[in-house]
Formats: sequence, structure tokens, C-alpha cells
Amino acid sequence: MTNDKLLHKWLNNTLSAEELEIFQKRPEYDSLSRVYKHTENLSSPKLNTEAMLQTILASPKSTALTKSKGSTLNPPRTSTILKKKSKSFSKWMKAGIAASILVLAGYLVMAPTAQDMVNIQLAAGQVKSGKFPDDSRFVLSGNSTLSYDNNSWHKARTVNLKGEANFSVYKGEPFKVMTTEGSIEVLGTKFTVISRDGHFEVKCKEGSVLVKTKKGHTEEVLKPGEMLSIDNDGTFINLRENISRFKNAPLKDAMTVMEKKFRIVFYNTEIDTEQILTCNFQHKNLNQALKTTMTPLGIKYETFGNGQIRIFK
Amino acid sequence: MHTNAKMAETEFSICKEAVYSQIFREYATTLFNYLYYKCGDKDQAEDLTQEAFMKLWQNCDKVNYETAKGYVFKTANNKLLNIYEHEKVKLRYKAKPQISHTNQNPEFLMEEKELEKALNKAIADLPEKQRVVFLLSRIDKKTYKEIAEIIGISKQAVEKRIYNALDTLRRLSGNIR
Repeated sequence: MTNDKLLHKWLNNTLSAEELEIFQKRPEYDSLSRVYKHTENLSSPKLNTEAMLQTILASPKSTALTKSKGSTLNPPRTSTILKKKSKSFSKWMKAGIAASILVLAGYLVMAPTAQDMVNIQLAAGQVKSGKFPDDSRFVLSGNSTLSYDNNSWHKARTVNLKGEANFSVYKGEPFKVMTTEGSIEVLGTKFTVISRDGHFEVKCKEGSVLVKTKKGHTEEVLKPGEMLSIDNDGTFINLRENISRFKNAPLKDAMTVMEKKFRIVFYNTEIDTEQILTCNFQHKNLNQALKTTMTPLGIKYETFGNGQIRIFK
Repeated sequence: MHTNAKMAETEFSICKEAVYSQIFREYATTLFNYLYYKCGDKDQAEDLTQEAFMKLWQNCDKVNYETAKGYVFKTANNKLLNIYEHEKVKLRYKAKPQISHTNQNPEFLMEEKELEKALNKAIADLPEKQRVVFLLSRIDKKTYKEIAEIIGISKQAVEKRIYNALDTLRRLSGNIR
């Protein structure tokens, strides 16, 4: 069937006159013709080859890739950014520092069959630890699946994960973790990712982390101490060095951050701290921050000398 | 003979701009189309094409003229395999404007459009292996032999994929009328 010589000849326009006559008598000839005619009208997008050629020839031989005008060239660009920002630190394998925890929910995405895919699938209650080709480590939790390509690891460290895992990442090529909520890219660093029940949260501990979320259409680079979280219900929290941003977040979250940043303690007996608010406040002025968070909700506040703040209706 | 071979090598060194340019002009579009049929993303296909050819340029002293084509295709393929794609492939085709209609009946035109839409969707829904081969044949007009070379499969495998693609599409086309 698949070696239907006439069919292939017809498709490639190499039928003789007699062969064509025979072929046209086939019952499916009409529908085949329609398909053929349709494809005659198809074309692929245009590629500006000359511009690309000139860009390549003009580039210095030894440096990293650059792109001509137009869209961004992803991995090399971001790795350059990260290289500039991340601190260098030597291998910390035996340092005994708390390992990063990487928890990812979402659907499993398997890269199409590649050279040497490693697939690990665990049932509930199981745990398995392992090493990537560059000695970076992972610990996979129960009810989780992890996969990566052994052969291309030295070129691009990409992991597809469903469930929960712990990663310890050496400095090197960009290390990417793929989830449906978004992607995380690091260059040898420590970070926490929580992705559970529609809640996606990334906290950077060391180095820098590039977070791209799908839902929030966000792309942020987090430095140590910074975090970003986004929920299915539209809650978005971004805590950076100088400013905190909340969208549809519970008041108590903002209060917790303020307590930490301004070294205060809230005293509250009557305010519902679950109520939702949207606000941004900078970390340099407590009064401004209080005004921005409390006033829109109609909450009054009173400052005491010892860093205590009472909030009330 | 040995010295001749060596001479030929330097003669066709890819590090020579003229030589590299010739290779580029010959294969860049095909590589781009191939990648586009695979991933359905014009920007990504463009990026990967440039990356692959850039890599060839940077490694021009390590790659032979004869194997340059294979080198860029393999490089691009490997890069693509590493790229995460969980979204359904949505291919956008530029439909060339239809010059004439033998039947101007609005009903007929409507059916044409329906069929067009349905076929485009069906093509995008084809398994990647079939889609890539099918489009390289239909849009780029590559021979089965050329396609086999590009992808790195046998000619029979190409035939099989084309057959299956055609089968799917013509059944759909048959059902619409």
C-alpha cells in the first residue's frame, strides 16, 4: 500500500500519459485532486536569507551568537544576562548547604524522541536520587516523572518534570526546567520553586533566576532574596529588593512582608487579613507603605514606638 | 592523490566567505522551512536556522565542505529537540490568492473556504513526522531522495509517511463534500 508506485508518481508529476489515465479512474481521485490543488496554494513564511547571511559573516568568529533585527534569540541572550549578574562560586557539592527544592506540577511534556532520553518515573512513596552528566544532582520524589537528554546535556541542560524534585545545579550552561506554568532558567544557583494546585512560586536564594510565567505573561530575573508567585485565581506577588508588588493577594501576605522589611510587628484584633488587595509599596518608607496598603481597604493604623503597629477599623 | 585531496580541501574551505555563502544560500531556506514545518513557529525556526549556520561559520575549519549540509541540519535538529514545546502546533500558511473560480456560486465559494480551513487544520494536526515530509514534498518540491537525506531516513520511510499523510487528508477532503 505505501509502495503505491502510481500514487507517488502522480504526486511528483512523473506519470506517463497512460499511467495518468489509469490513475484518474481511481474512486479516490477526486478527493486526492482536491488535496493536491490545496497544497499548490500553500507556501511557507519568507526568510530573509541575505540579511541573515550578512549578520553571520559580520559576526566576530569567537564570540557568542547575536541576532539581526527582529525577535530575540533565546538561550544565548539570557545566559549572557545571567552571566553578568550571577556571583561566581566554586562547586559547593560537599558544603552541606540546604539543597534547593524544586517542586513542579503540571503536565508532563516529553521532548520528542531524541538521542538518549533518560526517563525516570516514580510511584507514590518512592524516592530516587541521581546525577546529570555534569554532576548536577536531582532527587526525585514520589508520584513524579523526570526526563532529559543525556547526549545533549553538555550543550543545554533542559529538564522536563512533572511532580516534585530537588536540584543542585553547578554553574555552567543554562539549566532549564520546563513546566506548563512557566519555565525557570538558572546558571548555577540555589532556588526554590513551588508549583502546586495552580500556585507557582519561585524564590531565589543565590545567583540569579530567570522566571517566565505563561499565565502572568511575566519574564523576570530574580536576585537573591527576591521572589515571584502567581496563582490560578489571578493572585500575583512579586517581592524584589526595593519594592513589593501585590495583585489580588490577601492582606496578610503584604503585612508579613512589611513586618520583615520594616522590622515592625502588626497588632490586630478585628481586621480580616484574608481580604484581597492590589498594591505596590517601596521599602524605603514605612508610612507610605502603610498608606498604600491599609487606606484603600479603609483600615486605620496607629504606630507605637517599639515598632508595633495597631490596625483597626 | 593525497596532495590533490588536500588541495581540494583548501580550495573548498568553508572559512572562505564565498564558499560559505554558497552553502548558506543553497540550504538556508530549506532548513528554515524544515524547522518551520516541525515546530510551526516562524521566529523559532528563524532563530534555529541562524544558530545552526552561525555554528557552522564558527567551526568552519573543522567541517568539510561535503558534510556541511548534514552538519547544519543535525545542529538545528538537536537544538530543536531541546526546546520545550507543549502547545499544539499551529501552522500558519500564506495562502496565495486564488486567481480564478470556475464557479462563482457563493455556496461553492463557501465550501471552498471550509475545505481550505479544514485541510490546513488537518495538515497542522498531522503527526510531525508525516507533516514535515509532506510539506517538504508539496511546498519545497523536494524529491523523496532529497527528503530522505534531509531528515536522515530511508526513501521507503519517506514514501510511507507521504502515503499516510495523503491518506488522512484525502479522506477528510472526501468527507467534506
